Amino acid sequence: MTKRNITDLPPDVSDIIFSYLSMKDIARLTVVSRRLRELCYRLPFLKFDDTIHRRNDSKHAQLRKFLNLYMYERKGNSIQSLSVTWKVSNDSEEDTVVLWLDKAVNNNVQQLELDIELTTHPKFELPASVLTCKSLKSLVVRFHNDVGTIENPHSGVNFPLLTCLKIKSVRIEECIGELVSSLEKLEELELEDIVGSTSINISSCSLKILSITFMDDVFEVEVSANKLEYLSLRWYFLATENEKRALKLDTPNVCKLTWGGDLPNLDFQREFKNLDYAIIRPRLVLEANLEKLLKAVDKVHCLSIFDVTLQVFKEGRILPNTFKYLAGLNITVAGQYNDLASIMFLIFETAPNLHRLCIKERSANDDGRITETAVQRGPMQSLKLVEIELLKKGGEVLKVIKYLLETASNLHRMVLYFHPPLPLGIVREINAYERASSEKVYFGLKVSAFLLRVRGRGKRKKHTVIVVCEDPRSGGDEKEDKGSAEVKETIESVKEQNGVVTKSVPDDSTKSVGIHHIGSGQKKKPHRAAEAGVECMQESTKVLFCLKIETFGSLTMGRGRGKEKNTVTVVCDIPGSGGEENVPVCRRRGRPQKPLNDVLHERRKLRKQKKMAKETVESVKEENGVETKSMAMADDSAKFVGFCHIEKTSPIGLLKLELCASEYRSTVKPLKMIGCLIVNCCINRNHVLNMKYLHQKSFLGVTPSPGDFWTRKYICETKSLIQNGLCRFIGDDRTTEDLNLSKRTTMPSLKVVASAVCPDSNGPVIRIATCKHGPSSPLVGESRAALLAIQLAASSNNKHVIIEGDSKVVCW
Amino acid sequence: MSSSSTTTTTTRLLMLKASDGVTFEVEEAVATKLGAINNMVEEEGSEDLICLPNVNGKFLGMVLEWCKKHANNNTNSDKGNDEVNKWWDKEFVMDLDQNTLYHLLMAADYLSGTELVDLLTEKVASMIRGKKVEEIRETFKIKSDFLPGQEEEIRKKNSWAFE
Repeated sequence: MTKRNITDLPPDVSDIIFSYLSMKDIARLTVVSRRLRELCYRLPFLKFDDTIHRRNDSKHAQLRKFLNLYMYERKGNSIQSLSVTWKVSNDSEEDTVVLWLDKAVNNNVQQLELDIELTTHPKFELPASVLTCKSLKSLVVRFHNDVGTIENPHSGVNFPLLTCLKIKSVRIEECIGELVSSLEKLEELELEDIVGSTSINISSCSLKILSITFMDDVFEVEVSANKLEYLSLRWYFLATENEKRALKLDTPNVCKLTWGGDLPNLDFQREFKNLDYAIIRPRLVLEANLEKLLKAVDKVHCLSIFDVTLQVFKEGRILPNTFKYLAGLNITVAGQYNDLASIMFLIFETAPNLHRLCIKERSANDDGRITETAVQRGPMQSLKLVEIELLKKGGEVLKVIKYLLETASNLHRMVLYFHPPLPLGIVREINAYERASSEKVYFGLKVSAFLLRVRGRGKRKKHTVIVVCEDPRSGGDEKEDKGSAEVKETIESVKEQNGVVTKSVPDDSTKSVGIHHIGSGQKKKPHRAAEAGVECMQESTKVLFCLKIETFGSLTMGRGRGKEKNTVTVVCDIPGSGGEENVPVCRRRGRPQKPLNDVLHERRKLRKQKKMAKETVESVKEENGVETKSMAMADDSAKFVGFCHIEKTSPIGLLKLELCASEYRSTVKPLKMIGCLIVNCCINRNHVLNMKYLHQKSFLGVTPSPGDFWTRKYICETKSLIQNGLCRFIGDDRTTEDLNLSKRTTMPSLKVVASAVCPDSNGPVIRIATCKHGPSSPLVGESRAALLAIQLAASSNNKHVIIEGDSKVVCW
Repeated sequence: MSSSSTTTTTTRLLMLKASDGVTFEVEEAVATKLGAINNMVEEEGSEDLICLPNVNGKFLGMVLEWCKKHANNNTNSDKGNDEVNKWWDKEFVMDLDQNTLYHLLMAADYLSGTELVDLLTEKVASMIRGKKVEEIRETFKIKSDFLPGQEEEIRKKNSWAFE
């Protein structure tokens, strides 16, 4: 095969390539070779953009000069599309743009896009040649700062092929209605801020998409379009002028309707037959008009409304069973809405077949933060799944919950998400309901963890969020106050409480609920570790663990060879089912207080014991009262071990685990029967793989020799394997020696490699999965790795999982 | 690589024969990512062996690899998957040398894989963007064939572009 160069590509392909380039790049290309010069001058897609030169007058003028010349030298080469983004500040600029447009029109342009910024030059008139361009299929004209003009040419506007017309800030001398009806093939029309007429009459039999933003000076609007599918209307005027505005609609086939602004007098010629989705967001409400609008959309399948609209429901103006077909309803309300519950009941009546209800709560005092309440429900009688997520502690939503609990006879599952801590008052109140206690109501936590910047001298930093689900009902009251602190605050206060080790949970299960600070495990280096735990206890399987972890903020960069460790530990503890209500749960979490040596010692001891008999494991645990990650126990023949222990675990349904980082969001669902598994996910901007898991000869085909593990060469050999998304399974029959965990190495590379490594209790790696990821922030990579780890966990039938993240960031 | 389709679902398998005789067996859903093959399938119906005389086996393989990735992700329109896809695309084009790029583009163009053409052309454009004339010549091994003085003349005219 002969070596070919991209300059030999067929012209249609090179045209696409050049269409990605700016005119500056094109100008350079014209000098490279004759062939390229020729290609440049026959380029059919033109994009003239002066944005980067707007502040520099001389460059702006040079660019204009070049484009003029370029257009001239193109001769008769056809132009398919021309997009002009230009700042017009004087007559000669206007003449230039008009010249380009004329040239394009003469060369049978099909798509024209004008984005004109009018500055000191107050007037821009679209040339008559454009308005009579017969080849034009799409015309977009937008003016900024001021209003441009389209004047009716003597010969009349003539666009036989035009399918798309978008105009913004334009004064149209001709009546826009006549213009539109003269366009036989028009499918998409977007009008914004059209000046010049007080009455607009749009009538078209081909129009499919219509979006209109009217201004104050339009008084009458009439739209009649048989084929119209998408209709979006925004009309803003003074609230006192409702009576003067009139809107007449004859659009029977609209399937998506968006309504914003103020409501004029409405006149619906024909009803919406096929309406699928409607968003109704009026600014101020004249109730009679709104009622009319709501009645007009009674066949809608999915409806979004805002709180002002609720007034209409409140006053009972909408009759029961009005929305027979309504399956989904989204409501956005302000946080302080008092009558939500009663209004909701009225809404339920109007929409008997509602399947899904979503309430978004905008809290008034907490700007930008949206509380979401999503209630997924079937018909009242067959309601199966309810999911509610809320920030506030009850209030109106609580009434709705109660109402649902009372009336929904077939409730299958209800999940309530709270931000920690779990509000005990509500939990008790809900549990007081008989139906609630029958394994149907689950409580979930939504944890927002703000990664704390910890600056210490050490190489290692650690942030840990531990979320443990315990029985909320057994919580002691005295701890509630403490529990009410935000997670964020908790983490920040960790430093002060450094040295404090997690409390161990007494046997009597009268455990506290709330947030616990788990201090550094290493006494002498208290600043290197910060852990915060959120614990709530549960006593029976019915408390479902739904967890949402959101992490914000950036990871810390340490000094020099900073190494940080961010850990999300998820522990599901579910004591034995029914009969054994007060199963002792002893736990101490986090690094133990003891000096590291002791821990290591204990660990080894444990291992030995474990090898001997699995059962001893439990006793050891109780005896020590201490569990560390590394010495965690398995509950059965144990391929995987977590650091929490579990007594005869009953099935845990971790329904949904969402890990959200600011840039990356991933959802895993559903996860069933997650077992006990330690997953280490480490990612690195620079591809740092924790080599402690890779030392096995058979694993990577490299002979390990002491002191040689961490060489660059070694990683190079493994690199290709790992980057290929290698997924190796290693049998659990291998044994490993103790490894020095702190050793690691780095491999500069632009790729982020996320890997999930699952060792069992003894350390041998059981499974490893890696995946490649593009360059991104460590947080994103971390999430990716966590996702990978969870997927890995989900695929193994283990009962406990610990997900632990190692992020080692190497400064550039 | 294409013969490793493990799913034994009811999806139809197509045989694609490249110019050098190499055949690929791919699921229909994968192959129809390519407009040309989609047309052939629709027209010819039962024909399972499609000859592609203009495409070399090596590059057909690469094109099909891309198709497979994107066909899979079609079924699962997860946002995270999109992201993964984007990264995959980026890496797919990252290390291509010019010869491969050329032949891939030709193959994609011939097979009407519009999305792939877009991906590859964007890649080429990024190799040109912001570069000086000399750098472009070096990258693409182009020799200036202007008459002496001609180039300087043009440069003078458009001096703003060469700063």
